[in-house]
Amino acid sequence: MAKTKRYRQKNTFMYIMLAPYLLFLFFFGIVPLIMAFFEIPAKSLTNPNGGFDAFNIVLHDFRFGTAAKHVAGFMAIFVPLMIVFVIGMALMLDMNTAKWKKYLRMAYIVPASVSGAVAVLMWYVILEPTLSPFKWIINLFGVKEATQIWQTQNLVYILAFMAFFAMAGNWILIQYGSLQSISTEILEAARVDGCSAFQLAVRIKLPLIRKYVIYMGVLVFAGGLQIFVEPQLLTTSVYQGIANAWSFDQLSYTLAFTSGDFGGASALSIMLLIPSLLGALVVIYKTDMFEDAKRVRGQKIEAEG
Amino acid sequence: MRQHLKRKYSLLAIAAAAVIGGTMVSPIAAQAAKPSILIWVDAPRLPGAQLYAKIMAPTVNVKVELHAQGDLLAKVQLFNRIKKGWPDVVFGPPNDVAVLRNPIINNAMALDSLLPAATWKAFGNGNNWCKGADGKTYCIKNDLAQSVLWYNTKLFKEFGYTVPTKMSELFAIGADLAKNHPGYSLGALGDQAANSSYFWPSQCPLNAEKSATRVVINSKDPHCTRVTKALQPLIDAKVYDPRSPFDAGFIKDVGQAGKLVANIGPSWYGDFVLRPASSYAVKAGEWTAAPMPIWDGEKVAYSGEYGGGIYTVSPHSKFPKEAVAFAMFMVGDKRNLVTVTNPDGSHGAPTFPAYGPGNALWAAKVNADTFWASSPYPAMAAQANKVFSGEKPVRYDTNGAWGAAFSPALAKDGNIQNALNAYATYISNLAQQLGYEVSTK
Amino acid sequence: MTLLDKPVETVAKRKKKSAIRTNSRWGISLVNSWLVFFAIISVIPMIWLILAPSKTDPEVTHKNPLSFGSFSGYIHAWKHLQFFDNGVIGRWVVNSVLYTTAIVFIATITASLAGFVISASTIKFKRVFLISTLLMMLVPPVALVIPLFVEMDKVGLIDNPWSVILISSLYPFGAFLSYIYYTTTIPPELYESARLDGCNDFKLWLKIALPLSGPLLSLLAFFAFIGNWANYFMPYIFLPSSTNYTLPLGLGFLFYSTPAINPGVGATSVPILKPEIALAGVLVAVPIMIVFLLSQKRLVRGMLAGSIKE
Repeated sequence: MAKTKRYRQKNTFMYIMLAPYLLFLFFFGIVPLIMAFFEIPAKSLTNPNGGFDAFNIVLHDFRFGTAAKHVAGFMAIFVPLMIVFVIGMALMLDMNTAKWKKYLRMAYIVPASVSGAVAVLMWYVILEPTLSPFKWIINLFGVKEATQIWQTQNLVYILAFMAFFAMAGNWILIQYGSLQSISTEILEAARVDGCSAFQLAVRIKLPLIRKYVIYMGVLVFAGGLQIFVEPQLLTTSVYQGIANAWSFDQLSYTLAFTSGDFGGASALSIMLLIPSLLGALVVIYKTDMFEDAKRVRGQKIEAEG
Repeated sequence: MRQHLKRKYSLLAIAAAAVIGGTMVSPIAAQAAKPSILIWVDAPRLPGAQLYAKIMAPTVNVKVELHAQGDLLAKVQLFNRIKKGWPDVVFGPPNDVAVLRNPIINNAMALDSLLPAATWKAFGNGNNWCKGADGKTYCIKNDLAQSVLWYNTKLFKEFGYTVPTKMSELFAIGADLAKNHPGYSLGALGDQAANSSYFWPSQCPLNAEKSATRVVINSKDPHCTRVTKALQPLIDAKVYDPRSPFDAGFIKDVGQAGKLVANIGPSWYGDFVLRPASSYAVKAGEWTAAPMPIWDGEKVAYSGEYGGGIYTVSPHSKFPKEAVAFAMFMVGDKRNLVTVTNPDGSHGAPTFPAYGPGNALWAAKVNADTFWASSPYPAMAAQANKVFSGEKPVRYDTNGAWGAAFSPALAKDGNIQNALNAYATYISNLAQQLGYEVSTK
Repeated sequence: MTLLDKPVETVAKRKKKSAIRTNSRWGISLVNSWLVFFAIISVIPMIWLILAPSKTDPEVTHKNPLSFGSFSGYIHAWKHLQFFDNGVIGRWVVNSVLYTTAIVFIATITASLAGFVISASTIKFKRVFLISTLLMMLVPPVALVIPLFVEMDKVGLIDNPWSVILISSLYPFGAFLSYIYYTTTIPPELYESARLDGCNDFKLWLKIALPLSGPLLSLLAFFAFIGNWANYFMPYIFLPSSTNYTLPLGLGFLFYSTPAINPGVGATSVPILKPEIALAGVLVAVPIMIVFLLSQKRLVRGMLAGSIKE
């Protein structure tokens, strides 16, 4: 009893340390989210009478079905590609540490450092067969003219590729960082036991960073569902309109910014939130995401033994 | 719940005030005597707007801000929500007037009483775009983007062509090119180009708004099918290119290769598409413009438009007179039209002023340009009052739809009627979503 | 603490040695050449971007994409970017640096503290807190535009940089990452023994968590920087006055009216073409590389070596 009391007293410090983040979370996260829900019934050009009919209007938008099809196709490529590739790269980077590898990691984040209008120009040039520094790769696919690339059915692949390049570097960095948090003692012990580099990666390292992998999985899934930047870049560039309202988030953005229908945009956003959140919760509760380090470490030691 | 939220707001106010402390800007005391206006323009209009602010400094406080065209509606919605912040006068793309006039948005006021009748009259047909179905004027047109026939005088002489005055004559040139001069082109049709150069001048009803709640969209109207029937064989013969006129491949293969013989395009096409070294880079002394050829059986050789910005004034403005005065400075004052220095070193307004007296001032600038085989101004002036007025500003994004529906369909199999049908289906959906009843007649 | 003073070098060397011992050289060089190959693919577009301003606009499309024009090209492009006279572009750079520094500072500290508290404390509602943090990462930003705008108006912060700084300082991604980091790195026995030694919660953080936070903080700071340095959307919504613009925002307005990006606008006398945009892209990207190099110094194993031995 005395012990509990002492802990409770100590928690005041904990609350103080948590307070700044909690304030931000409350005022710029929770409150706006609740307000967003109450924006839905606002009157707009698409919902002239107002009210929660907004959900219905969005679901029956003529672009909703095609956006769903696009996003599903995109995610089927993007999500597995990201997870497998990023984890693989991070493990390979971690196989031996050499100083020059810092520059490799820097190279991987270069594509992510270009954004907005500059990214428009960059991708336009990369995918334009007459200008591209990757001409040789493009020609390899038998493509000589831009019109061969810019077919609607190709967009799923192009966009998965663009999104992959924009995000892979950052996640490689995070997963590499997560591998750095494994103590050298564990790795040495495994090596002494005769683990090969491959075994070390799959049997020892991967289980130790699985929380990071789950975290990444959740965010890559949600990010894929909310794909926005890449199709928006394409559609505002030289191939204007090619990916108009191509994804859910673009439809939401179009509703808000070209139809002035913030209510519909909110309705769609909240509908999108549900699958992301459910997916996230299932994954998190099915795994040991909320367990503390003790339990995780215990399992690991058992595995080693 | 609302009260609950309100309580949260005041909590927020206290918290934020505590965090921010003294750094908040103190509101400037309202000045009763001197009017102040807030102007929003895009980058090309910035030098003129800044000059205006300088000139007016003694009598009017003018604040100039840049904004990205196309996002205006969203910003207005935000301002509507907090009931302040609206700019007094905004430069924007032509469709904005329909969007802003809608009572839900309510950010374009009727301007009729703010200028003398003589000024309105001097616009001629140049300001027709801004007239609502109720007969009132809701915007001031900055520039006209009327289509004219740009052509290569040297190639015309070489191939023995005369300047076509009828569309059938232009298409006959196309047929001759296909037969005797393969590889030569009459231009590209992707994006809005097909519309502003062919469908709109042919009176094809695509965005024919009849009232605030009814629009006519009919891609199978004879005024549309006569275009597609005439163009299809020439697309098949590669005289017309299904790509966009801005496609890098088209620029390289046709524009810069000197394969372009003639091209119907807006009045700004010469200076900004044909001429720049990074674009088609046509040679000096070879090109000029002629008036639009007439469709057989018609009385007027109509033009379409590709762009052409507008100024709208917010009904929330406290100084609408001063706001309109700015728009008139931009379209009618020599200091903006001719003398102001642009960031690229050029002078004056870049495009054809919609206001009659304004474009007369601007004419001297074009006439003095020795780049053209002869001045293209007479052709532009001839078409200035002939933009077909059946095509109207509408609340949905027609320009985006050309890229979204028409261009991909045309690129796919080169069938222009199918592409036009795809466009019509797409905008019909958009129109219905925004509260229009869509009909084919 | 003393354990942490172990020189990084030795650990790295030792590790390298043992790696070579247990792996075939062939496998290592195969892995390394793949890593290098992917790095080359990643930087080629940036090399193109760096070379582009040396050329004129027609040369960008005519010449070999990876060829060099002349040094004067950079000067020309830089002059053209100075669209607003009286050096307001310098102001934008200063604004960008100030706003981003403030956000990185606030976001990194608040998020890492939050992650620590959730992993180390016995406070209530930990799961509610984690789930709402997760929720914030999953919300499409468009939904929050109006509410945030209304909030900022209530406190009079529209057109005040603090609006962008405060909103962007909410860093759920960082908070969750910190939580994972602390739960996987620090075993609870460490806290318990420290508590028995009479440490209060603050000292727990100061003596145990903070010394182990190097790699975490550098990751958090780097991602806060990369996310906010080039942010266009927030300043666009909240900061209408040109004196408050950030570099990406000011340049963005110029870009959206150039036919090089947006041919629909057609006619413009703004001399912003491909070389100018490329130069701006390099200017925005270079600080990201610098911050990367600064923050990555700490991201080496061995910082942690042995800390969890007991």
